Amino acid sequence: MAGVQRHMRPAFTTAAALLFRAALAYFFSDVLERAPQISTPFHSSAAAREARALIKLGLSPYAGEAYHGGPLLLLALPDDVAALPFVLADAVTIFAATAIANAFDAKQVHTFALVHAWNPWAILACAARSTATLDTALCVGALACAAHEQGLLSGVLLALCLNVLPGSVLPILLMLPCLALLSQRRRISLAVGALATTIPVAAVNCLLCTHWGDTPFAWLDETFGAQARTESLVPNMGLSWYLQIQTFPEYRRTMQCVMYMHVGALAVPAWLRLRSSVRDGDVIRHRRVAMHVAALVATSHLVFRPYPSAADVATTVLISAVPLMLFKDDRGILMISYVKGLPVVTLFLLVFPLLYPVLYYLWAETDAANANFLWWSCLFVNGIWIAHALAQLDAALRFEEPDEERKEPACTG
Amino acid sequence: MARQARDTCGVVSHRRRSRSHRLVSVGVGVGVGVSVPGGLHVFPRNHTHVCRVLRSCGSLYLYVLVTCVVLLGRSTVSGGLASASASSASLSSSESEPSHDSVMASHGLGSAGLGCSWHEELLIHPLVSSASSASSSSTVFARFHFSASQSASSSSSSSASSTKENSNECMPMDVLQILTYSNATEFRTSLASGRWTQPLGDAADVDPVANAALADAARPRGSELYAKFDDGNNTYNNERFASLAHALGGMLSADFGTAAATHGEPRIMVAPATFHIGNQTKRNANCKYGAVPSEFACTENLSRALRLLPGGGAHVAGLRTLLRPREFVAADAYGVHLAARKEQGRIHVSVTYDVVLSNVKGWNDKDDDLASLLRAAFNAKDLPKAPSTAQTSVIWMHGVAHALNDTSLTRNKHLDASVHHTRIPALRAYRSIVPASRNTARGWGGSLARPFASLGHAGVGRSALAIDVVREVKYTGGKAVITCFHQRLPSAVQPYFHTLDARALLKNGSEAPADIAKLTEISAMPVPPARGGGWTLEFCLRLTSPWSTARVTLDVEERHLHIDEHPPDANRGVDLPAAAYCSVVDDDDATTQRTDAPTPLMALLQSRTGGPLCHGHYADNGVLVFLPVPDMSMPYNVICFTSTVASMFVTMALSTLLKRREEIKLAEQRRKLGLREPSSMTVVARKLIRQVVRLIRGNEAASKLTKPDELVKISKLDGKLPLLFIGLGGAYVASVGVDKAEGELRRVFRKFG
Repeated sequence: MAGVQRHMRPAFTTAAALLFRAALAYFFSDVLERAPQISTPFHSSAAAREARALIKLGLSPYAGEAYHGGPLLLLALPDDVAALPFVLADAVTIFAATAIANAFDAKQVHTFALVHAWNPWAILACAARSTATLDTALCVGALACAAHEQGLLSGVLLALCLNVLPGSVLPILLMLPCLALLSQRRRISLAVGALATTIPVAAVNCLLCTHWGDTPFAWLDETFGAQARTESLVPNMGLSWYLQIQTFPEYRRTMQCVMYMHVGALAVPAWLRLRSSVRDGDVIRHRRVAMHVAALVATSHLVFRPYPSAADVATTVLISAVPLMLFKDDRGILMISYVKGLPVVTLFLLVFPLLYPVLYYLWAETDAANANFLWWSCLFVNGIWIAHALAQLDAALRFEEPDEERKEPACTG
Repeated sequence: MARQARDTCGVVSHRRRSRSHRLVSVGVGVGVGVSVPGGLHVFPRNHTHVCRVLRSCGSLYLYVLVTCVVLLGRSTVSGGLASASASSASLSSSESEPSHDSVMASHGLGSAGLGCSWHEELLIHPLVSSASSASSSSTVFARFHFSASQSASSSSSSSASSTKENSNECMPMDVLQILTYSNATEFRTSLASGRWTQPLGDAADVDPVANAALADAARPRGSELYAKFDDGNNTYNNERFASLAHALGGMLSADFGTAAATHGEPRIMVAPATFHIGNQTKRNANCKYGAVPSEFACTENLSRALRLLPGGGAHVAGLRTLLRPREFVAADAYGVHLAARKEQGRIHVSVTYDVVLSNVKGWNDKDDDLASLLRAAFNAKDLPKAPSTAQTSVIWMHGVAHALNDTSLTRNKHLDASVHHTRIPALRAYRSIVPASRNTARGWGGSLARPFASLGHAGVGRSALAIDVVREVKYTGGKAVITCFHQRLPSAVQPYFHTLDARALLKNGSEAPADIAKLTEISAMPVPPARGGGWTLEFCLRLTSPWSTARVTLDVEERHLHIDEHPPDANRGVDLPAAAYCSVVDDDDATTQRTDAPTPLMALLQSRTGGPLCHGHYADNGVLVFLPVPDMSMPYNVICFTSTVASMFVTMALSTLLKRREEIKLAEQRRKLGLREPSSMTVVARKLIRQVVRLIRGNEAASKLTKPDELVKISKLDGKLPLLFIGLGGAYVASVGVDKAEGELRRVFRKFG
């Protein structure tokens, strides 16, 4: 009996976390969904309600510049958006995290699952009914499927994230680690699944836009284009909003391009460098390198995304925790300097974001504070995330094998 | 059918014989019946041949022909009506708008007939009075209303001629020409400034005529322009509206061009004469409405409007003598309204001045002495004399008319009876629906852009605009009251239309059932970016319960703008234009307007309040929305710091990726030995030392310094080498002087290339 109880304890803990989300959403969702750091204008369910109101008025959902989600999402979510879809999405994320831990034969499976279950950022994003919660579920689910050699399903999930919840380039960036997680013969199935999902979903999106009196590809411009152009300057936890406010128009597009190039400038070289250190045939090491790259991509995406939100922080924390918690035997990776400073970093990451709504209120509502206070806190937190990404990269490189140790043994056969 | 065709052909032949070169016959009377359009001139002259051809073509061709004839004949008849309505008494009597001239004639005050009629009126109403033992002071509302009416035929001939001999003396020719050449059937414009508080006391104590005037004086601060055109081509109407705005702006020295450039296109309420309650709403695509909240009225506007009135110069007389624009601009609130319209073959032009004078000493509202009031309020030494050109020259006070042509200013019994006749419930209906915004400082016109009270509901970063509509049943007879709103939302705010909601509260404060206050006819139209962007929102609120208060709320989000998009006075905020609205009683029985108004001013007030149709519109005060303003003084700091953080990430990540594995291993060994990583200054110092050693002892000695063990030894000097260099350099500079040290440094740099 005691064994059964110990076995059921993680399930009870997870269920309690989900119930806590539902209760928080029931009482505070109206307040939380208006906080732009938790639910940005691109992820707010209030924007989806506004889009449905515009459709009832005979207008295009994109007419008011309030909604920047996918057309299919308006049909998928109910008219009176409750918290249930978002709580279910978090349950899927927790299940996917468990699956990832199982795929790497880790001992701390349930502890790893609890990283997301009780992550305050994940809880706030779910209670605020942010659609970025669905992004997290699909992306982590795609990683879990890739870790379990389910290439087709992984491709489907990434394509759904890209077309039903457009705006984020994280699914595109995660294709690289997902392909790396899969074996050679399964990789084609990921491409097939992605294409087979993208084509019909994109076609439905185009048809819906046409039905609403818009151009067929208006959804692409209103989702990816609007994010790339940083059309809404509502303060969030990223670097872009205040930079775009203060940048002069002649320099604005250049700054945006430079910021977005950073993510790509890191992901591909990191993958090439880390892959070069893996011996051919060392599947376990190969898969671990893929998860390192996934963590790097998620962190850099969080830093340079135009509209990062609480759900993006939860995604980054979960994916970054994979090498941190599951690859302990990699030559003492836990002994790196980043991990030694983890409590301090965690403290900063929890305390400084608490200042966001306070400083925003003091600036925008009461004119009692300058916008620079809010910007400095954002800059500081993003500096911590940059340090986190660099420490991850350093940790991944540190247990590389030297060139002389990587020399292939002579063929004896 | 053949007989009909023959008859038609007969008319054709007759007209062709009489006017062989005239294509279209305009102005054919009703008695002609189905008139013949000039389009039939394409047929050959031989009408018998035409009839033969028609008979041979069969019934289908005949049907098409007859249909064309009927359709074209209708248009001809309507055109004929426009020109002939002046002489058609039967047609004018069937219209809803009162005929002022006929009313005036019935009262013996003169009839204009086909000529020009001129009326001037002054309505005075005390708002607040504070009496003390030493002195008494009052706040007085005064409305000067000057109106002219003239037949369209005579006005067209006079407007075409620019000579003064042909022009009419009472009709402002500038206004007439603008109305004619802009192809507008009606335009209204106002310039207002200032605010005042309207007391909402018990209606039994308040003069209903004055209340109606107060409600009519509720114009938005700034300028507004409304125009209605007679055809539905939107592109042409936009151009006409812009031309009209520029012409009026030039005439009144005001900026109506901005109003035209950012106008909304009302569909429902601003021209509610076509809005029939209970029937399908007739969309009103020919109307244009624009407002500029920041364009306040000034002395120049008042003076320019004064020039439009007749009787200027040395022989100024009548109520015009009381108008002193330089004194009005010191008042709490003042405004000038100009309106012109073509109706029933006549052209009506009115110029109205509204002014709220505070601290009027030497008079209190209990006093009925009109002469003392004019003396106190307008510094009038003598009572004004009625001008010879005016058919009416009346001062209204406490619901009583005083004619200026009566030197004693005694009560005019004839007009007095008519005033009491205007005290109908429908007149009070509007007064009872005055939005509470003007009294409680809440609503569209209040300081509700960012109220703290609504932040809890709306959340941080958003505000809730609200409008309160108060309704009392005793003035509306228990029938439903419909209030339609037209709101232009600028691009500085992001509205959330799914939050548009109406809630009703009963008199005891309890929440009423949902069906008491209903929002209907909700229409949201995005304004193109070329006209400033934003939205035009229209909706109607139907209140069915007596003694109910309804609150309509809409969540808006204040946008964050780029640094170059903020106005020069960014901290002032952005003006949210006033909402134009109109209230009517849902009374299917009352299908006609009252036509018994004694004067043009009374007719104006009555037409806007009495009946199921709302002529004109009202507007509350605008709202100032405070946008979050970034720190404008440090854009370069933000760009530099953010770019530094981003570049730091990329450079450090790439330098980590480009490290050789041996370097990583060496760094790992150093860390295990407890040795620190060399700083950049140390690296520079090493290079300098290496160069010095190479110069002094050769390359071989210098190469020894690159061995790992030597590096370990050198690294023990970490932190000391830079200090040592700085100290030595400082001592050298201090000993030889700055100039010499600079010369030595240049020489060293030249040597090392």
